[in-house]
Amino acid sequence: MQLLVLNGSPRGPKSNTRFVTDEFLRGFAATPSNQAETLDIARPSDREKALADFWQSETVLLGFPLYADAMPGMVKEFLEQVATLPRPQRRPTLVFLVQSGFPEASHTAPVARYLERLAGRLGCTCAGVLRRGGMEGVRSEPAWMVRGVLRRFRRLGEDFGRTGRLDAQALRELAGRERHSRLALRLVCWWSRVMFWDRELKANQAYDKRLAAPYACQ
Amino acid sequence: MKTLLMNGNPNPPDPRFDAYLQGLAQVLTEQGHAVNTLELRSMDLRQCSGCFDCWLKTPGICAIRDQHGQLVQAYLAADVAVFASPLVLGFSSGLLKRTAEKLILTLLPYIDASSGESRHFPRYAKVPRLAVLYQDEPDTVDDDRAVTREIWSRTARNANTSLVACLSTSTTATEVAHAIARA
Repeated sequence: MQLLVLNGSPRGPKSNTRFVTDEFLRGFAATPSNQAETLDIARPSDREKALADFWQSETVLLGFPLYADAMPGMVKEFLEQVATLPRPQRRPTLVFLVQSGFPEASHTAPVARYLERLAGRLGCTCAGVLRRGGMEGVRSEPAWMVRGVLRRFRRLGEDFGRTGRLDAQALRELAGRERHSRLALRLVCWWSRVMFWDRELKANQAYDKRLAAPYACQ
Repeated sequence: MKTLLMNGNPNPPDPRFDAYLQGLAQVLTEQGHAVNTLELRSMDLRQCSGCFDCWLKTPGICAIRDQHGQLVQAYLAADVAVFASPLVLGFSSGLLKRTAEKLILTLLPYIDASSGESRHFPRYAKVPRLAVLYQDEPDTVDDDRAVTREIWSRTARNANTSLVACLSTSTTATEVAHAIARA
């Protein structure tokens, strides 16, 4: 099977999205005859190649971070351009990956419904939407914290590489709970504040300005 | 009431949509509302790069030197901010989406868990209510309208405000103006 991986993160190669599509690809490569290439659509040269290769591919995995409750604008603009290109008789099978910083799966559900409709609109089959929350730290967190989630992405890649399909139950398990308990959520919010936001603000000598409102109406 | 019309008609623009928005602006003005229209395709609003500088280095200010300041000032000054574009592939335009993302600098990095579902705390005390206006494509069906409304409802919720209307240009400008003004 041939797979074109499109990383739709505005952060490009050093992104959480790329980190997990790479893991998916490790699993995908377990089937020796499989071939894959990854392009970062934030890079202009990769974007051009992605436009040229999209309709010629057998399967396409488009991954992106959740930006303001859907795909980043540049991903939507890329898709709008893809849709203007001549479409071959044989269309690629599409797989999507949406990862969010917010921990609950409720945030990624609406855009996943959109993506399934989008595939139909492009005349493609959608093999599934991989969703996962709580991903902002996946590149930087210690290995023991992310081992489990990376294993899930790898297994899904392996299954997809072997069968061309994604198991609905495995996708549900990857997405996790729609909502978390209030206690768990409060803990996550507190943890992100203390361990990440405030540390970074202090390291940048910006802690005193953290609540600044520079565009407040006069 | 102050209304901001963000025209996300992409390049090349669909002239029917621009004409509709002009008509809407005229109706709102005649009703005594102050209308500010931003033609997004003519502005320099570059893709949010996810650098988080607007949260962690220069709080409230985007690291990209584009026209985000003009956008954010207009947004914060409005009572209702209208995100408007034709539907493209069953959702609002990428240009409009890119614009919406620039507004994360009106939020704080800290996450509010009080509703039982996370969202960022607001940076500003007053945030406009949101409305969405779209133009159907030839193949638009109710499911497309529903998913568009659903995504923008989430955006409103996560921006600490509410979505007061999500209407198509098949609605008359007078009716849209009423829906916005009622808010």
